[in-house]
This record gives sequence, C-alpha cells and structure tokens, in this order.
Amino acid sequence: MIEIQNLIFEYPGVLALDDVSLRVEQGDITALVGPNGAGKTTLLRCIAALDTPISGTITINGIDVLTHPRRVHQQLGYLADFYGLYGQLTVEQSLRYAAMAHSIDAIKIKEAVARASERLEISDRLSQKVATLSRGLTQRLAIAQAIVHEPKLLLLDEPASGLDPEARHALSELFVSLQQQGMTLLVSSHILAELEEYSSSMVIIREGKIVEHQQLKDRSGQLIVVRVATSQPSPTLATLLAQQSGVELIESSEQSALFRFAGDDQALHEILATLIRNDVSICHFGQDKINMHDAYLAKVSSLKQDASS
Amino acid sequence: MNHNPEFLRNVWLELTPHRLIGMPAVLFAIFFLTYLITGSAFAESARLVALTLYFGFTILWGTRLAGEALLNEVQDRTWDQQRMSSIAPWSMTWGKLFGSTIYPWYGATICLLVYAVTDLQTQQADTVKYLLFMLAIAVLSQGVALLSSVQTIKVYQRSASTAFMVLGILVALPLISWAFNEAGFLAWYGLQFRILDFLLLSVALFAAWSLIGIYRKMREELQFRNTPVYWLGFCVFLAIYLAGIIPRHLPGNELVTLRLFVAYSTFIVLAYVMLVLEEKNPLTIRRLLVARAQRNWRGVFESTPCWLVTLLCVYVVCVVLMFNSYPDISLAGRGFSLKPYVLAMAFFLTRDVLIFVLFNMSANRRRADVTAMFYLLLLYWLLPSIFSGLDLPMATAALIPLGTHDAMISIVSGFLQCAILIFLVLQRWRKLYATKTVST
Repeated sequence: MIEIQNLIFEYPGVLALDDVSLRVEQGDITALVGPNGAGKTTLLRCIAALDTPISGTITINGIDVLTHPRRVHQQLGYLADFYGLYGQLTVEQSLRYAAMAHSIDAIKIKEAVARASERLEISDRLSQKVATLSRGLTQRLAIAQAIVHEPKLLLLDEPASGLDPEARHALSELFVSLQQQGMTLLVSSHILAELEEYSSSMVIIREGKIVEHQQLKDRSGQLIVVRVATSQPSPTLATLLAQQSGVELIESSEQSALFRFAGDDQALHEILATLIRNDVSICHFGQDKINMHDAYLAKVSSLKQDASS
Repeated sequence: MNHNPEFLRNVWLELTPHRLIGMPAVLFAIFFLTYLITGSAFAESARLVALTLYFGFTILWGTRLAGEALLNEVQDRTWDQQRMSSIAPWSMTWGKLFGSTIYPWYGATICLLVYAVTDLQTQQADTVKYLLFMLAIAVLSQGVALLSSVQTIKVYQRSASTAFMVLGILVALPLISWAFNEAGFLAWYGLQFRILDFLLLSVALFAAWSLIGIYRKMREELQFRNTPVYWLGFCVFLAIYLAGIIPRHLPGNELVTLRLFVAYSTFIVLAYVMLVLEEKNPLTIRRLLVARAQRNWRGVFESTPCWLVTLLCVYVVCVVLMFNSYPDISLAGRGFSLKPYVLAMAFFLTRDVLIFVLFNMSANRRRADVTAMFYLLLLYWLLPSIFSGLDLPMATAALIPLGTHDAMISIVSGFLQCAILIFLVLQRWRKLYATKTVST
C-alpha cells in the first residue's frame, strides 16, 4: 500500500526525516508513535504530497507520490492535527463542497454526502452550521470530509486530541469499522492508550528515524504473541523456538521467551510438543498481549542504552 | 460556474439572502439621495457617484478581499484540504479571484450599469472603452493583490495582507487618474496611440499576466511541477514593453543602446522584486544542488528560483551591453559611456542578492528579509549620505553604482563586496550542511 524508501526531509537547518524507509500493508491500521517533534507530522505530510522531500521515494498503490501527487490525492484522505473547516457553512454544504472538490460526479454527490454522514453518524446534523458543532461532532465532520471520496488510504494526525473518553472510544470503533471496509489507516499520535484499541502495527519514530516497526495483531484482530516460561534454566529454549516456522522471537532468556506467532492452534501445539520432547521444563505456555506502552518504552530504553554504551 | 466548487463555496458564504437584498437597497438609497441633492443635474452626478462607488467596491474593497482570500484559508487551516482536492489550478484561480470578491462585484455591477446608462445620457465619448478599462483595471488590481499573496504565502503570510491591498491599489490609482484625466497621444515603438487606447490595451495585457501569474502559482501550490518559463516570458514582455516608450527620434545606435539599457534596468528591478517576494531559504538551493547531483535536469530547471533566473537574464543583457559596439548615449549634450555603470550595477545587484541569501541562511530566519533590507538601506542611503556630507566622493562611489563620477571605484568596490559575501555565504553553507549528506 505505502512504500517509502530513503526519505530525507529538511527544514532549514533541521533534518526532520533522516533516511526513512517504511512499508505499510493494505488493510492495516498502523500507529505512528514518537515524541513531539519526532517527525510524525512531517512524514504524514510527505505521504500526503503536501510537502516535498529533498530526496527519496514514496509510492502509494504503486503510484509515485512525488511524480503524480494529484493522482495520489484521489486515493487518500488526510486529517491534519488542526483540521480546518468553514464555520459558516452547514454540515451538508461542507460535505458537498468536499465531494465536489474531489471531482465526484454531480449526480453522485448527494449519495456520497449521505454515505459519509451516515458512516460518521452526523446525518441528523446536516442543516447545522459547522461553527455550532461540539468538538466531537466537528471531528466527525472533518473525518467525513476526508473520506467522502472513498479513499483507499486515510492519514490521521493526532485524531483524538481534545476528545473526551467516550468520543475517543467511538473514534476507535470507527477506525476499526473503516478498516473492516477495506481502508488502510496510518494514525499518528503520542498518546499510546488511544492507539492500542485499534492498531494492528506500530511504527516508532524518533529524531526523524524509524527505530521500530512491530506487528501487533494479525488481520483478524487476534493477538498472536505467546509467552513461554520454564521452571529450570534451558539454554536451548531460544534456539528451539527460532527453528519453528511462523515464530518471530521478541525477547528471550534461559527461563522465558516471548514470540510472535503466525499459525493455527495445531501448529502452536506442535511447538509446545517440540519443547517438551527436548526436555524444556515448561511451566507456562500461553498467549500474551503486547502492551504498546511497554513495547514503546522498552524500545526507547534500549535505544538510550545503546546510545550511552 | 456551478461546477467550480471553490466559486460555489464562496457564493454560499458571501451571497446570503440578507446581503443580496441589502446591496441594491443601499445603492438605491444613495442614488435617490443624489437625485434629491442634484435635481436636474442628476445624470451627470449619478455618473460620478456610480464611478466612485464602482472603484470603491472593486479597487478598495475587492482588492482587500482578493488579497485576503488565500491568507484566510491558510490561517483557518483549510488550505491543505484544498491543496489535496482535485480542483484544477485554473478553477482555483478564478474561483478564488472572483469568488472571494463576488459581493463587491455584485454592487460594482449595479454601479457599472448606472454609469453606462448615465454616460450615454450625458453623451460622453468612448463609453464602451471606459467600461472595458474599468473592468480591466479592477481585475488587474485584485489580481495583483491575490498574486502577491499566493506568491508570498510561504514567506510572509498574514502580516502582509494590508500590503497586498495597498500594492493592488497603488497599481490601479495612477492608471485610473491617467485614463480619466489625460487626453492626447502616446508613442510606442513609433506607433501613435490615444492615451485611453494605450492604457486599455496595457491594463488588459497586465491583467492577463496577473491571471497567468496566479494560475502558475496555484499550479505550484496544487503540487504541479512548474518551470520558470512563464516568469521568463513576463520579464521579456515587460522589458520589450518598457523599451518601446523610448522616443524614436534618437539616433539609431543610441536608441538601441538605450532600449537595451531599459531592458537591463527592468530585469534588475524584477530581480529585486522576486528577491523580496520569493523564498530564499537554503532548501531552495539545496533542492537545486540535489537535482543537479542526480542529473535530473528537469528537476534543476523546476527548482531554479525566479530571482536566480532573473539574475541570469541581467548577466546576459550585461554581457550584450558590454560588447555592444555603440555604448555611448547623449546626456546633457555630451557623450556618455554606459559600460562601466552597467558592470557596476551587475556587481551591486549580485552583492544584494548575496546579502539576502546570507541572512536567509541564518538560524533565525524569521526576520531575514527585513534585516537584509535594513542593511541595503544603510548601504544605499545612510552611509553614502554621510560620505557625501563629509565630501568624500570616492567613498560614495564605492557604495553607489550610479550618479558618481568614478565608475571604476564602483566596479572594484562591487567586485570586492561580492567576493567577501561569497566567502561568507559559503562559510555559512558549510556550517549548515557540514554533517549532512544526501543519498543520490
């Protein structure tokens, strides 16, 4: 879906994106996390062809963003951190304008407006002036505008900032629903709790570099992380696990391991059987959950350790 | 028009039922008051009132709105959404220009009709030409305001909205005064034109150029790739246009030299204009260098800023003038060689460009252009005035390339100042990019 290679972006005197390469699969909800000023917004703006990098390539569905930005715009929606709306227009006028601005056929505009407003549950507000909407409803209208032309990719920059917990939860459900309808989402935030509910992968960006890209869930939304613990130290634990197909080790020691697993229950049983056959004294074997917050902090901590050593 | 979303959005916002009724009601009241005051001389008075109101609507109000059209989008953070839309650059151009000003145009159209009717009633000559002139000058004034704002959107943003309005008005007012108050003829490349005809054609042409300019900048904003070809076209057009005003009775060789010198001066002025209006941050130069390193020649052309293109034009005409076989012109009855002054002007322009570039490479770029202009004020006015007061003509010549008796001093001084500034710019560039490499 999105393929980025060796992207370099500079503001005068500041290297905002430093040789960034990234691949986002179709149908994923990818969380783009990192501290303020890490380069999240710049990366999103480059993908949206709003800013032009110094060098590197970005393709979306095989279309080169730098060469054909206007073609790319037809395939994506972008919600900026400070989304702009025309306060004096009604909700319906705003959606009609967005639909017309994306060259939707005149006869299909009404249908597009109805579909977007239904998706965002703002159909009952169509005649209301935008300036009179609550923060949550304004957010919904902004997203409705961004998806009125049915884009394949939706880029969202800090979408939940300023929303109350109820509105945040509703937003999470909306993102999952958009994903289920085939949309790919790239969501930037530095608030991990809001991303955990719906993200299927996480990209950590720090000082303009991508330092981690982790798969968190498979497409069906099931967690596929397994934790193993042994009662006795077992030097072969990590080696045995690494030899199994579908296993990707996240962390390991002589008495425990955490691995990402892609396979069915029978395959999982085979792994357990293999460990037992090799005299690994298993005392715990079960699915675990990657806590985004912990994973992020663990990565940041290891980066700091690497830097200090 | 229904198919231009930008125009339609402006119609939704500007033409509310209340405003649609309010405008003709107020205008009717004004013309009725005029009738009550003037009685039998109503037609003539109404014509003048309509004319005044028309220019008030279009030149004052409309120009302000046109100058703010894009700035408001940027300030309200709606511009990115528009940049990501499928709206074509030309639709965006006229949608913004005539959409943002539609309400003043609504009032202006009523005034224009009153003017036309009363003008015919009072048997004034050239009604149609004056009407066309009024339309063209309004488009030019509003076009200049919108063009300035779209040109400088990345450089100055909100703070310059009043300046854009003033610029548009400054372009329009002298031309209006000239068109309505001057009769007689004007020669252009030996062709005789009535002043009104010449102004009408000129204003229409410059209005067209302003629309082309907005369209090209809109293309850039909407992520189309632009080359500076159109800007180059405008520079050549303006140089040819202005060179045509030189009286033809001069001897042939001198006429050619003077026309070349007018073209040269035009390029210099345009270089300064773009130097002020265009981005000069190090990234513009870096993009150029990266494209060159990648042997992407189209990219090089696309990345070349207009001020640099104009500077190259200055150098080309400078070389032509330097090798011109007839460099002398008559000034106050004696022969006068332009060559040294032409060379000195090229050096001083280069120095000024380098001053702008140098300050735009500093860590705090926010006031770079203002600082550069401040230094130019010191160099061109304050210091020469002091040297002049101290009766030091050599020192004055070192700072002013024209109007002094010793052009050689200006040339040497200009050259040395350029050398120093090139050194400083390179130092700052190395400091800025000392540790950064770009993969090619």
